[in-house]
Amino acid sequence: MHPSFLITILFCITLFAQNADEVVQKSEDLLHSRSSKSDVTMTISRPSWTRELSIRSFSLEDDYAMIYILSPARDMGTSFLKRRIELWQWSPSISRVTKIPPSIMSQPWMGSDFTNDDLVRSASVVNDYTHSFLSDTVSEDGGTAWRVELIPKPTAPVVWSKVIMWITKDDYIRRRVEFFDERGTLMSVMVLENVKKMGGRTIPTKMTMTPRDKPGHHTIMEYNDAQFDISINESFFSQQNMKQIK
Amino acid sequence: MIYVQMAWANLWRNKNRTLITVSSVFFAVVLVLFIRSMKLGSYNHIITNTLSLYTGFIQVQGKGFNDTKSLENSMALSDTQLMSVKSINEVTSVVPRIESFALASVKNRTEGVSVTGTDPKAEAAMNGLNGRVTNGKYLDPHSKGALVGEGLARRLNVLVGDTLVLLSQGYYGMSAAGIFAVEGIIRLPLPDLDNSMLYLTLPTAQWFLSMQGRVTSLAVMIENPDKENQVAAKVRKLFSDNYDVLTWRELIPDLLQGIEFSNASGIIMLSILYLVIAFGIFGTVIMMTAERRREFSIMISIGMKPKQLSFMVFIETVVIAMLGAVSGAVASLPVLLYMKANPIPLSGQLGKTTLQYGFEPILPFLVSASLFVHQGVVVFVIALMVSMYPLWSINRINISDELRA
Repeated sequence: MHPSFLITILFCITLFAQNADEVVQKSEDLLHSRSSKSDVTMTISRPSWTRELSIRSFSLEDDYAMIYILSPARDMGTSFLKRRIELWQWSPSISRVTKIPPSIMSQPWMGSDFTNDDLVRSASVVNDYTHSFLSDTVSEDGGTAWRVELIPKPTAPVVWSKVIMWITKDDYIRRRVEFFDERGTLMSVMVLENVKKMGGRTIPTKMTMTPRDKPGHHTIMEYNDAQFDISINESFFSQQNMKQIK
Repeated sequence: MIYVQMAWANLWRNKNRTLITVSSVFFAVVLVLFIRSMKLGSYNHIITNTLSLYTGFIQVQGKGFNDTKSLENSMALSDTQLMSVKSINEVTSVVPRIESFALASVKNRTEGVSVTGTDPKAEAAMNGLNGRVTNGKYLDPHSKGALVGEGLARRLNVLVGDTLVLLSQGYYGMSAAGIFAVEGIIRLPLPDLDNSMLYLTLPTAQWFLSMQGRVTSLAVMIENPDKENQVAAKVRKLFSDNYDVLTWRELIPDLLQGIEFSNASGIIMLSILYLVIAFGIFGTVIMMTAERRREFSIMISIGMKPKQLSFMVFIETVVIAMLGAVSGAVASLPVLLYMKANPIPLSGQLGKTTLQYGFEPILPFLVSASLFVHQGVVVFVIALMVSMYPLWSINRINISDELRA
């Protein structure tokens, strides 16, 4: 084999590696803003029942978030506050703020297929993983997409051994995320659909999380409204503000 | 027919002899019936007490709840379904319940508790829970508060009127939280229950766990324990495959095994008693045969075949055994019925302990047709087996020796 050919391949691999980082960074930038406010409908499906929650959430950078449950009536006013890596819950029926301990971070949030950890997002998709390309694929709406493999760095606070993201080539939007456990088994799939302009950005407005080992279980999150880069500051994210839906 | 006539005449010819043999069978039957009635009565007592306290004879549950006691396996229960179970003839009471677990927190104390959401009226009708209140008042159908076991109240350091916070997981998997006032303190017989039990009304528990219209179990009490399977079949017809209808034998197999174990030892004792009885009757029969040896020899020497003679004697024994068994049963009946109505009270320490376990401190008796039939038949068979002796002895009788004497 000609040495220059080998060099080209090596060069290409490093080039691609850089690109994978950039692709993930770009897709992350699309979703995340300095601050946001959104109204979401969460539909939890189980073999024997379906339940709809409506949720309002505020966020500031990666560190602060406030989530209010607007309905159903039984849970109305329940709220969650994230400050850096800590998570609190306000339960209006007992007028108490409880801290959600790290031990139940991987437990389902409000009985859904999202975990408390998914809310807190202590790991950064960009900084806590190494990224590399797998073969390209065709995303659900027909466009070509990169398949990026994300391997968590040894020190990253991540429960997955591997995450694979499908990111479309023309607009850097994530269309599908696959989560693998430490044995390399596919555990959950998140599908992102209904790409629409909302709050001045083009984003997928429907996310479906489906655990692979539980037939009949899935959770859909649909954005009804989203605003980005709203003016909000850190003092908003207080225990006082948990008690009143804003 | 002549044999029957002769046997009958023989019985009357020596009334004393007949009377002695009949009475040996008679007393055997009375004794066995008395002992068995007491033993079975106490099992019945334990079962009824345990079942009425909580489980019920039959339970309707959501499919799989008995194996995995999670709210996921709860069941929808409509008023119509509840009424249709209630309207089954043999059913005396039905109690819909939610059984779950929660953390109870008061100030800085937190304890794990068993939460039972129930219909206070039905619960009172089933097991007199209202009579166990030691402080405060019993739940009424509209109360939003809690009834707390005495031991649990002590551990949480709450009094009537205090409030406690319950944290649990609701039906839809989200966290459930609620504040409840302590309306009453109850003393429950078993320490485990007393230290962990907390009662809410069914609607309150349904609100707390977000499971309107759902329960985890429906306990069914029936009048006659013997009809349990019949009633279970009737209940089963009312519910679809998404429900399990279980009898207490499947719900608390430990109780059943305990009783079976105790019964096994009871049966060994009973066998020994049968043996003693058998030898008692045997002694009487040996004497009777010895007395009649000369008579038998004469009968044979004037031309009666040993076979015919044996048949006649066999009829005599059957009549004697029957008389003994029937008269024993008839004489026992009023005595046992009296004992059933007026059971022997347990006094002293034994009585107190029994009471603490929530059982009435009595030695109850059981009177049932099957008891009489079983024991009557067993003693009758024993008498028949013993009477093989004269038949055997007739066949090897030495006529010349007997007649010479």
